[in-house]
Amino acid sequence: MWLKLILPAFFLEGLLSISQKLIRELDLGESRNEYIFLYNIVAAIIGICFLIRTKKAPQKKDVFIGSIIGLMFCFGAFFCLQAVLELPGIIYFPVTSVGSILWVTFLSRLIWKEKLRKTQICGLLLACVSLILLTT
Amino acid sequence: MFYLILGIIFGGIGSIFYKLAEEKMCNRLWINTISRLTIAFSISLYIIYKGSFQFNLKLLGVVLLGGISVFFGRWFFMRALKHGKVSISWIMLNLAVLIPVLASIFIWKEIPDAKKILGMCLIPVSLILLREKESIKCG
Repeated sequence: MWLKLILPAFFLEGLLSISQKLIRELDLGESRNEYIFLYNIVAAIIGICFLIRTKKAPQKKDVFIGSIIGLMFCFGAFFCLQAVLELPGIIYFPVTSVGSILWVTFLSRLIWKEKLRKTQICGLLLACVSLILLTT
Repeated sequence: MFYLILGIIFGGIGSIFYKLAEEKMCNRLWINTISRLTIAFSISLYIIYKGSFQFNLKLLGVVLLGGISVFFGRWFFMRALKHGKVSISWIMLNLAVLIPVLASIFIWKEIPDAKKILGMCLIPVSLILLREKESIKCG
């Protein structure tokens, strides 16, 4: 079941990255803030359409956790934008991608005591190597 | 480097909260919609502060692609968190960097160097190794 759900997430995340690449390819770099604003608005509109159909009112926990997720990604993006101005790409891109997965692995171990199998640890190391190779 | 560390810390906490939302049995549609609205609201403050809003028709297609993929992508991601580890699911999401690299080669005819080819070859192997064991129901 997990694989059936994570594979579409993987491909859709890739499509999001393609849309980010299109910003550069179509010479729309000047409109990057507008791009972030508008694609999030599009996503919110899709959500609102579904919510109108389901007619479910939000609970306090939905509003609280939803806002925290939004704020965390916003702060994350803000600090990364500051960092990309200061650091060379050869350091910024690999450190961001590898740092992010190692940090989440550490947090999940700390909070939920998630243990990785030996093959998964090998997969994690390979993922780090491939991300470094792709982003440098 | 300080900003980069902060960026990684905040982004990682965001993904941890997705798992928390699943644990607390939150409504995925509301979580997804509210988080997107929060990001849009925050960036709108920055756009207002900057004082200019540049809209280009070419942007329309790109934001539609981005919006649709982020909404459904995160919805599938949240559902996957119910059945698997957040760490492995997050790694899988990060490995999606392979798709724009492939697009660069096949759509924009960019020629990858040896490093990128090796990186691309390693991703499928790591995806296979990372796979969560599916629970088998007996009886």
